[in-house]
Amino acid sequence: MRLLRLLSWRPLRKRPLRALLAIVAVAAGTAMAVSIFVVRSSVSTSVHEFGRELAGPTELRVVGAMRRGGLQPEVVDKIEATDGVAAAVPAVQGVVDLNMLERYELEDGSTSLAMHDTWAFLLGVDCRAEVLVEPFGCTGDLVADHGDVPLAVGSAVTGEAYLQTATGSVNITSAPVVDSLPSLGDGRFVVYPLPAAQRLLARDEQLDAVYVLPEDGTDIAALRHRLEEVVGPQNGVLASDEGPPEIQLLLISALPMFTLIGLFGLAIGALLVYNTITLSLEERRREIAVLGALGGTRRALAWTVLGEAAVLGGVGGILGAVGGRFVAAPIVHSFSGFALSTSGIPIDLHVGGSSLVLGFVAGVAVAVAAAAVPMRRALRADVAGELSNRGAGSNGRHANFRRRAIVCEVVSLVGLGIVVLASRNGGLAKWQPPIGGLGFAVVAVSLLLLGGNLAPLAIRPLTRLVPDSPAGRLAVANLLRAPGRTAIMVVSLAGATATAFVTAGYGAGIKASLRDEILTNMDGVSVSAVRSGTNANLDIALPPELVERLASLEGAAEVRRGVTDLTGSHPRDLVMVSAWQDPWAIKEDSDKVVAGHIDREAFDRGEAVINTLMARDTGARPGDTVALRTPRGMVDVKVQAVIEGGGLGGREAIIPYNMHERLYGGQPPRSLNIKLKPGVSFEELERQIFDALYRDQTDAESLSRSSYFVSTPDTLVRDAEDNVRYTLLPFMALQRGLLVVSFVAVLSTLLLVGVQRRREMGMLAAVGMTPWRLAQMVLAEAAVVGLVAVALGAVGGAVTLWALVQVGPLVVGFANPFHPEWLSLITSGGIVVVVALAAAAWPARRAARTEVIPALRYE
Amino acid sequence: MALLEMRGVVKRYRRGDEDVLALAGVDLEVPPGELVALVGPSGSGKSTLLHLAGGLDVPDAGQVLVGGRDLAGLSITERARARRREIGFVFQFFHLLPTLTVAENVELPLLLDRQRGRQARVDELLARVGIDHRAGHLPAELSGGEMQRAAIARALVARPELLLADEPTGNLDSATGAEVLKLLAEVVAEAGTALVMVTHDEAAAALADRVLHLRDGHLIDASGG
Repeated sequence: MRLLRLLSWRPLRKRPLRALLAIVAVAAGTAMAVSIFVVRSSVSTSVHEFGRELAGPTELRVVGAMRRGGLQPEVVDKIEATDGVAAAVPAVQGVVDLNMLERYELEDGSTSLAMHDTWAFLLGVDCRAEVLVEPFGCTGDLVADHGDVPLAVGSAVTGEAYLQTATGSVNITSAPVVDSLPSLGDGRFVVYPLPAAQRLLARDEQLDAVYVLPEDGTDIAALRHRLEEVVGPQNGVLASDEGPPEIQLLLISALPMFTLIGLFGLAIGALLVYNTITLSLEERRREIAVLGALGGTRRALAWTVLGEAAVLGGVGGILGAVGGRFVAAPIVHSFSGFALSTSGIPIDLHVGGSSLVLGFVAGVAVAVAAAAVPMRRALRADVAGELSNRGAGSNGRHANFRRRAIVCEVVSLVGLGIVVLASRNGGLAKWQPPIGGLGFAVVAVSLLLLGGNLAPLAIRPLTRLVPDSPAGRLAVANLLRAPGRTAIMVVSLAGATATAFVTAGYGAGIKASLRDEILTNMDGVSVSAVRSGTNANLDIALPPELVERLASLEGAAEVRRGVTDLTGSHPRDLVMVSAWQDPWAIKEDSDKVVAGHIDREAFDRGEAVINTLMARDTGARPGDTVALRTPRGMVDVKVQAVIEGGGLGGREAIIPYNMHERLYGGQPPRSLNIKLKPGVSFEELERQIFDALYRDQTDAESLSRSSYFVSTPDTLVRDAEDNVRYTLLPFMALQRGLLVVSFVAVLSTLLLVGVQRRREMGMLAAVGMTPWRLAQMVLAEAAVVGLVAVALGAVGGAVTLWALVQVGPLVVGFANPFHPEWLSLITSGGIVVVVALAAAAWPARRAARTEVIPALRYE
Repeated sequence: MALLEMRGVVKRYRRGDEDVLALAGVDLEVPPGELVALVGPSGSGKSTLLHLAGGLDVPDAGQVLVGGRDLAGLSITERARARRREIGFVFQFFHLLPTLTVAENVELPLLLDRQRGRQARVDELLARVGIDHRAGHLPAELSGGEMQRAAIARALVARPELLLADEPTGNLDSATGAEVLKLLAEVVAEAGTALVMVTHDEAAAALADRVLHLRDGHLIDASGG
């Protein structure tokens, strides 16, 4: 222990700058990794808390074939009659639009209105719900349908409040507020009598869920099995507090990508620690040789190095755990928006003590692992040579990098080959998605490492291109002299560049694809109860009388409906069953067909078109049948073709509209496409629609109560682009995190190298180099590194983007065109170079303030 | 029996693209308690010979025996142990660890060997070399002479049988160097330690029982022994 204290920890205290840089490096990397853990934990905890609040003491929950009205009412009796069931509580639940108006008195005496538009969880129950909460004196009269006034609302429902439901706008201002159930949607919930909820959500007499309270002593697993037998294969039995499967899918589909990026951050942190410890050991090589001369064993020396690394890693890891909270916050916010609109569940940031433990352990592990290689190198050093000032030559280093670059290139080509193989024939085989993911990961990592190995080779020609400036020439020479350190700086900056480039390119591809589809196919004006791009789980619809009004418009040739229903109770069962009256939804000449062909007549007779994800998961091909979950049971439908496309969770089955009505019941449409009459423009029809929607509502107040979204093709394109931008926000947040890691990488490397080159700086100053020129030299190093990183990051990013476009359909179902946004490099590349220069500012200042005599004596 | 014996020792090393023959078949015997001065021009292999004698390196041919044991036949761990217990080093540039105090530097060989009762031995030696008042100071606060005294104390703290000194006065002014030499000669004589000293200093050579010249990789006994 004393040896550790003297030889590991004492040097840390004596060299606080080096220690601080290593700690920050570990912290930056750990923060990225811990943030993913915090996000996952936040989602799980929020969903669990919501579910537990809602479910009360019940243990199980029966859900229907589909989210909205998937359970037949008679299933309640079957559940009640099942052995071991003490009570069965039927419920209707959905997510609706909540508008809250606040009035402000202006200085001139007039009133201004502010509207807060959000989502709310609507719950419909009868007296059996007293099992879920305390008895509240429920009677049959209380839960009869008394119109639109709720039984209770949550504490977050304030002011003048209106719900947008399937029947239109509902004023709930006078509803009693309850402070209990605080975790239920953060107080954004509305409770109705069951019949009223069924009416407002257009359920007829159908139910959404039945909560099951078991008898005392009942084996829950056995009861679950019995209920599954009783309710039928089309329905599901879940734990009562289990989150809806679409939320679980969020974790399954989105988090792996974030995890990869988080691991990248951790890897950069490890590289920085490696850098720091390598430099530290180089500086201390004489010390280590002396220790060896005095009889220190390799084990003792190893412990001193690892002890130092462990301390740095532990402190950095704890700091990183704290920082992970701040990285996680915007991601959690983004996920919350999705979860809120999908299931009424807000996702709050939950940071437990386990994240601190994780950060500490990860930090120590990363630092010790990063120290292992420089430690081994130091222990193998020639003690006698060191004591005789016979240093190791640097010959062959460039040859090593060249060799490594070739290896990386070969590996990346193999990765690209795997990607191509995985995406062949639409990627319909089950083995193709995991192989595709692996191939993409291989491509991304190998290209990153290739960038690092190419960096010295890319910088070498600059010796001829650099103008006759001593600072510039020295900068290039310094970078070439220590190619390993140069590579670390380039890799971190190139990683940030590539991430920004890939995100921008993929987003541009999605936008281009959507734009093309909308502008090519849309032949009318869309009217919707929800903003375009909003998830299909919202219980908002266009009231029947409004639909009739729109159908009778002068400029309207036809009103076409569309409906989507989410079926399944487990992430592996989720299928979006869609039906569209628009003919372009299923086109015979569609370029999205992957297998089979579209026969519109056969389709209209009752066949289905499924997407690639569903084909892969079920193994169904054209000519086969797929079993669709419906409230009345499993229904086999013949598959006509397989197309590209994604629904929630990726799986989608498109069936004829009349078939959908037959299987799932007629549902009010959430959106319509009103086809133009010949000779009528989009703008004219849009004006007519606005008149029809709002002719009875002339004041701002009534306009605020209900909102419909009227979109011409251009408007839809704009909305779609906004949605894409919003969806990609978490990736941009992570890219910012990578920029911070890059900043630390450049700062720490240049600072430490500056310490090592102190004598050299003194010599340069002694022979006449001015302080400004010394600073210029350091800044020039950063600029060269930044520019090379941007160039390599752009090339690597383009290839990575291409690979992502190939495997994208395997994961999300949608195919997007390859659409690199080269212009985005101007912004992102500029930022990267600025980050590099900013990181070099302090090392440049230190270089400029070199004191000649002490520096020349420095050893 | 000789404490240090070198038989036909050959050592080459690489400098850039060049192969340098440092020792071309050296024979040497140093009995216990003898003070041997090793002189020669720069680059003649003096430090190489010292490093081989201390087990810091192994010869390409020949044998190096300390206390009858062939150092090349020992494992790295065994050689390290030998350096902790049987061999002491004094360097031209002192090589004190800058983050440790004088006392901690002197204590280091005993600490590496996990020996108990270190403090008493450290205090004894610091007093003997005359720097006990500087025990808590860092090397950067010491003069050259004081640093070399500390290095001598460190080299002798484990009571080695063989002390190897590489230009111990090379970095000191003549007056300080003379003091350090005198001290070195006294303490090794008190302890009965054999001393092999590489030096350019004529005064150091004059103190030696035997002076050996190293030229072109060969050892010549200048004192006719």
